Amino acid sequence: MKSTDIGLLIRGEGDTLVKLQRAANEQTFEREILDFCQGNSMDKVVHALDYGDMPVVHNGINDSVFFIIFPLARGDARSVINPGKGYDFLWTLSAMHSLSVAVQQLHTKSVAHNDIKPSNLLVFEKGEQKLSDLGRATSESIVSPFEAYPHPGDMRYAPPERIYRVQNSSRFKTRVSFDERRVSDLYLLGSMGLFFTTGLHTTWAVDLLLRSEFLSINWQGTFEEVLPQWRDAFSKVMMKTEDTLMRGTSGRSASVRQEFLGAIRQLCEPDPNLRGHPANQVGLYDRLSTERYVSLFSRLKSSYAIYVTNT
Amino acid sequence: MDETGIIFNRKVLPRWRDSKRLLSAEIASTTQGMPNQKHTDELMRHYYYLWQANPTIENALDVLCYAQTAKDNALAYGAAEQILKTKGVLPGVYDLAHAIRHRPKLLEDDIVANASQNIPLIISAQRQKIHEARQRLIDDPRNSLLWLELSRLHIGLGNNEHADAAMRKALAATPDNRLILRAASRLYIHLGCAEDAHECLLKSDALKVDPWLQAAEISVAAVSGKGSVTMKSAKAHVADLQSIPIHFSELSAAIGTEELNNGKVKLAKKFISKCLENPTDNSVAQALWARERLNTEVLLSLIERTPNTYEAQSGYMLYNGDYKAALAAYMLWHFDEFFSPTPSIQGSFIALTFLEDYETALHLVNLGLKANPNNPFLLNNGVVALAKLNRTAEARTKIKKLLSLRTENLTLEPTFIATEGLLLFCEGKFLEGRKKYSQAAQLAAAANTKDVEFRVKLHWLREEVLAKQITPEEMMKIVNSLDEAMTRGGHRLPFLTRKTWEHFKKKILDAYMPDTEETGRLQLF
Repeated sequence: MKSTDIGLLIRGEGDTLVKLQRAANEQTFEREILDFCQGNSMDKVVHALDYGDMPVVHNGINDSVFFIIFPLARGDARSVINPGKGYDFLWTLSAMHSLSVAVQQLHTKSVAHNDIKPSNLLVFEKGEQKLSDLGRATSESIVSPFEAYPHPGDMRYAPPERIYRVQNSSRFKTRVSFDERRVSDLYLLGSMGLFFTTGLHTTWAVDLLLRSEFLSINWQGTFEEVLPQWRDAFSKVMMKTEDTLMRGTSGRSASVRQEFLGAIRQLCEPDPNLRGHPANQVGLYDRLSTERYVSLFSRLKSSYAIYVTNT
Repeated sequence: MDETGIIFNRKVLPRWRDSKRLLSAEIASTTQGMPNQKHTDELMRHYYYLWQANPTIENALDVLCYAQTAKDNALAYGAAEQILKTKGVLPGVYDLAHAIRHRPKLLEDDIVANASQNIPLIISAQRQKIHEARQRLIDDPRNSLLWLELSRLHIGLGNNEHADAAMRKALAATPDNRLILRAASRLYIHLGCAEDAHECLLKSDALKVDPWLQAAEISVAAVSGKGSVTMKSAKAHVADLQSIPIHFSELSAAIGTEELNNGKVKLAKKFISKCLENPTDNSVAQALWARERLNTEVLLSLIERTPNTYEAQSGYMLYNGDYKAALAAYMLWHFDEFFSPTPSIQGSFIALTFLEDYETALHLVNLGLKANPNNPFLLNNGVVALAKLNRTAEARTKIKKLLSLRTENLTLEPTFIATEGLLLFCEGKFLEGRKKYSQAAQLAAAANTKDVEFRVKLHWLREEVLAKQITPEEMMKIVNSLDEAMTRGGHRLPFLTRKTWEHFKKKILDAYMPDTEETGRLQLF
């Protein structure tokens, strides 16, 4: 359940009216977008079971709570993949397939998620994985309270073009187009793949290899100027990931892993203008479509499942 | 340049070094806003308290995430330790914790470690790096920095064509990147294609506004003998600036240098002084180079607090007679720009002349020859080092190569012949050696190169004394005549020639011990 306590909200610091308006806008938007997703049969996105508001008594004072009720999940991705446990490659492929389907479903209906991260991938009883928390989404058809944010989601996971623009040039450009948001979603999707295999998402991993002057918090130049440095660090991250993932593998296992790494490289491509499947970059294809990744991860999942069964 | 390695006409050519040692200012020109450091520090503290209350691995990782960018990440050490001690932790997480808990090694430590390695090991390490870069480029062909690094590694091994090809790929991947344009111009200058160097800078639209590219353009244009297209506007711009930010330092130095070469000493002094307000290592080295002609000083404190000032350090130490420190700085300079022959030539000359450390001289020569196998000055200094180490057979092989280059540059003839004379002296063939020295001195006199003539004579004297082939009277006669030449025209001779003479003379006179009873000749050194 996701709830907002009006009494607590009023008692907090700041202008009450502004806070109430913001909370109401956010709650209304999330309900609308959840209805929209449900209405469009997005089966890889977590739907609301119910929503509304109800009176509560808190310390003898009558109060009211807005709520949205979701199906009960076993946990999120961090309960399966956590830094101390190591990774499960079959589970990773399955999760990447579910996520790419979810992103495809959202993007087809002009919704950008903006906040794809491990805590937002829920795992249910039968092992089913679904993308949750549309609270930070933006849409072409429903006005989002986060429309003006360069990156409404968690900045720790944000793609480089968003981090460096927010730090250095957001004042010159606040309006972010839907396609730019889709590009960010592709990055976040790829970043999940890296998290499942290394325990670090892409932005952390790259930051680890960047010289401190080039970290977004210290950088004084533009994104374009730092891009070659970022690309080089990302290339080192992928080389290191490849070393770990390919160690001791051969045959089918190795080829599946190679294809998986290739997809992560394309999805996390540091230059937003080149991000996405290379086959989509030419002709009349939708450059930012995740359709090819849906097929790819589905195929890799089946192929690796056969390999696991046989060994 | 001559075999002493002194650059008579230094230009502010762009540095081309390992990306780890790049100045961040060199790749960013804008100064927008201040980083929100306070926010990061607060978040790290917040997650630190959460982790203290509930020390799970996930909470530890949250602390580390902000510790990466926090000003002081000591609070995160505990969380990092916890992750390092956890068995089976994911590799990326382990790396992050390790990077936070253990500070990286100083770059100088790396250089010193490399310096003590033998040449085949260094070459094999460089080849391995080339192999790794090529492997990475298969998956990442748009990585312009990696193409740039590949080009640098190739040029370090003298693979000029491969270096050129890799540089073209880097330029194609990011055609307007300052770092790559500057490095490309440096590569083409190194390859002797000054016009190509100028051309690649002129192609960039950024040249109109970028002071780093303008600095390179002015210097490269001077080398190629063409007029600079940016000199006029850049000069007006820099003259208008109240204070010089680091981005304009090399531009100011480049303008000052050209003014100096045009004889406008007052203007040159103004621009060169300005370049030291917020200097780069390159502008410090330029100011040091120009100090005699401008009658100015460069403070040691400035050299020490500016990063990567290996060239300036070596020059300063040399000027002040601290040859050991100078030699160490030359070694660092070589590893900073390992394709450049200059640090190896100068360093080996210092080791041969002032320190008589022939092993180190030979090591430096061999390091320089990796990238510049046909450099006559390196070969020359190599012959001297080998001859002094009594490895005359190897010296003979090397001098054959050196003499085969004589058709390309006749101005070097006296130096080559004098070196042949030195080798003959070391082989005990004094008569033939003497003939060669005499021939070299005559050639230098005929060419009216006073400096070369003077150096031929003083080296000849030194060999005669070392071989005990000269009487004290003869020796004193030559010493007096050289002294007289120094008094007459010494101020016109290069600084290093004057220093060499001072050093040799002192050594000869200090060690003067006549042993007239047995041989009637001198026992020196």
